[in-house]
Amino acid sequence: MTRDLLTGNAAAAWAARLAAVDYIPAYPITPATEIVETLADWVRRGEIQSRLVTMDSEHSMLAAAGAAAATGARVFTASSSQGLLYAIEMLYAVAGWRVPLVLVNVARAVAAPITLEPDHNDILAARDSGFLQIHTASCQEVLDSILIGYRLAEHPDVLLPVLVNLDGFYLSFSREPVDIPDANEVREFLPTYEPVHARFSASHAMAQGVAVLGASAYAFFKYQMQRAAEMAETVHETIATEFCRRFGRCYGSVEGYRLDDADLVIVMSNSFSTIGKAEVRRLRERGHRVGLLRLRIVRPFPHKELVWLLGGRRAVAVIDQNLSVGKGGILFAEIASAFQGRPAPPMLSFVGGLGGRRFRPGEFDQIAAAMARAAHEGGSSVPRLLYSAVEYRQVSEMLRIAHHDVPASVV
Amino acid sequence: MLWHIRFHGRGGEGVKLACRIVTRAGFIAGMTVQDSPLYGAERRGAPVVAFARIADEPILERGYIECPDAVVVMDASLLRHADAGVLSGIDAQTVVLVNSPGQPQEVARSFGIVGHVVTLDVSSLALDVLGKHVLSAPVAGFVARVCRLVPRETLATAVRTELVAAGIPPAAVARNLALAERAFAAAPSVGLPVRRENRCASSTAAESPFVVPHLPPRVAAPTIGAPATSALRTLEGWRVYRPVIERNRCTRCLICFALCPEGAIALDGQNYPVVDYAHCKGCLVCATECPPGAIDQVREDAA
Ligand code: SF4
Ligand code: SF4
Repeated sequence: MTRDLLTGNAAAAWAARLAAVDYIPAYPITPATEIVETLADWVRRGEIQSRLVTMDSEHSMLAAAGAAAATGARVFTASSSQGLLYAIEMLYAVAGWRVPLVLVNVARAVAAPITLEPDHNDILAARDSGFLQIHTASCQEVLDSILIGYRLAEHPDVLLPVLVNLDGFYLSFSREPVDIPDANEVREFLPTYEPVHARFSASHAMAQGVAVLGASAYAFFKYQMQRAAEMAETVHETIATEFCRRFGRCYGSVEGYRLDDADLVIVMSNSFSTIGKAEVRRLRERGHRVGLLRLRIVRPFPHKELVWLLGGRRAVAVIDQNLSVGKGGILFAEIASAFQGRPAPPMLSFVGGLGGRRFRPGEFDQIAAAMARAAHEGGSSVPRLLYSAVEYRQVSEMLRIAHHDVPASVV
Repeated sequence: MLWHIRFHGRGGEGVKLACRIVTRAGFIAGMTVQDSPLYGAERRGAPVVAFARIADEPILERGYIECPDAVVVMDASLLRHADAGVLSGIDAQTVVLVNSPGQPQEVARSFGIVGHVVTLDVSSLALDVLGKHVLSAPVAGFVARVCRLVPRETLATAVRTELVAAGIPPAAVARNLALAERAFAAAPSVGLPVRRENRCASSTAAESPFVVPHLPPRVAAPTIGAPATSALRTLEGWRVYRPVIERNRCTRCLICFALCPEGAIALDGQNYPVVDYAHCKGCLVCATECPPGAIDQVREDAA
């Protein structure tokens, strides 16, 4: 094992290297570019044996990735934001082919208006595609989750591709100490992929991804993906337990922080949950019994675990770093649905971190106070945007420069 | 203990690399570290910020450092531009390291800096040793000594590790090592403030929440309502060098006037070009293209 300072992007490249991937179709996009740049550099210097091919779009990139995986190659690729959305059609196709691969998404808010910093509308737009989703909170977890992701995707009971999410800037360009396991240790955990159902062999002809023009056949194959995703929950547990034993780092579908005796629980995902932990620690010092739950695996959605961990709390606040326009926070709705038929705690929905917006001083105090009120008055599904008067004044100034007058009544 | 160091400079000066050398030094010394740069659409001369966190505990923070223990001002010209936010979140205990030949008291007075100001003429050192305005290694040396982060040998290892990783050729690495050590030796040893709690913790500086109202689409969509809005935004803070037209050498060929990408050159009554410094971004296309070389390039921090 080596311990080094790595960005989230470099950690992703290292994972692909350690997984000894065969094929890397590439189409760069900020803030994911460094991942394929790093891999391309290793290929050029002969340090890895992977074949790296630059493509003409993300759509072609995913078509190539899926096709290569269907021949039995181990495939890695990465994208972000508009790129992932451009590939969405192929995500559905590749998942339906039931071929394993790992696709990294470096989260970046989706245009318009255009920006470079992260929120999760890109990755969550892929939530219905059949790709399993692991959302990471540190550079170490990026590396580990990609290795776990290959085991999960290639497991004969699963055979669904895996998306690993890491936040642009907050992880992609941030360096942290990362343990890089030795290649031979990784090989023991993640041996060469031996495809059984979809492969290329001259002596064993097969057709893959065939058309079925009947509803019954379609429904059958489609629902098999749901069954496989359900299986993936226990399969992940087994793989993560083995990973924990071998490498000493343990992952679940959720991560709890100061949860045991917490009355009030804040739910977050991805790298901003690091900030959430610090705020929980601070609120604890001031006597609030607050804990944090980080959702790590979004597909398969860990219904049972969430009900187990959130049920019976005095109040729960979900902070969504995404916005389903016309509905609100996506994860809030999904978590609320897990309580169907069971007593649910009062729940509140907050939308924060859109476009990478930073939390403002005092916001977690406001969230804690709102939860304490909700404990008596009940929850609400109305999404509240975390926003401050200071920011509104700044935006008003931009609008003034753009020759718009903001109504004085709201300034 | 968790130290926060915020670096301010301009694209091309080595801000990100200076920050990386500092965290690498902390890492080698066995500390927990995190670093990240922040830049928008990449461009030489644009303000760049980088953040270093160095701790003897897990770091539960990410992103922008609002309340730094030390601020590193790699380009003093940024101090004149409030938008760059160089002095935001500092207090009397914050150590402010300024790349400047001036005396600390003078620099503190002229820019109204409340923190503990330390100066070192890093630019001259760099120009002297490298012949280029690349400040990553000497700034790292300056920071390592002033903040009492690591001994000289650790700094040297960190400089070598990061420059080699950045693909710098061996001869240049050696010159940068010597330069970092010179900055280290020339800087005073001050140390970082020991604070009991994070000043930026929400309890002390709560902002009022705001319910964003429904507004008409005219305002609610990202549009610009009329042309020439760029006149309302100044670009002077972008410049590292300012073009200065010497009238006695100017032949009034008007090439600069035609080529300025910002339209920041106007003509006076006698058809001499005049630079509008509020909107000149300092690209120096004019100076490069001027046939008789009538446009001088003056460093902003000397202008
Ligand atoms: S430096 Fe660039 S922007 Fe400024 S006047 Fe010359 S050409 Fe125009
Ligand atoms: S390009 Fe040079 S000589 Fe020509 S008008 Fe401009 S300053 Fe004068």
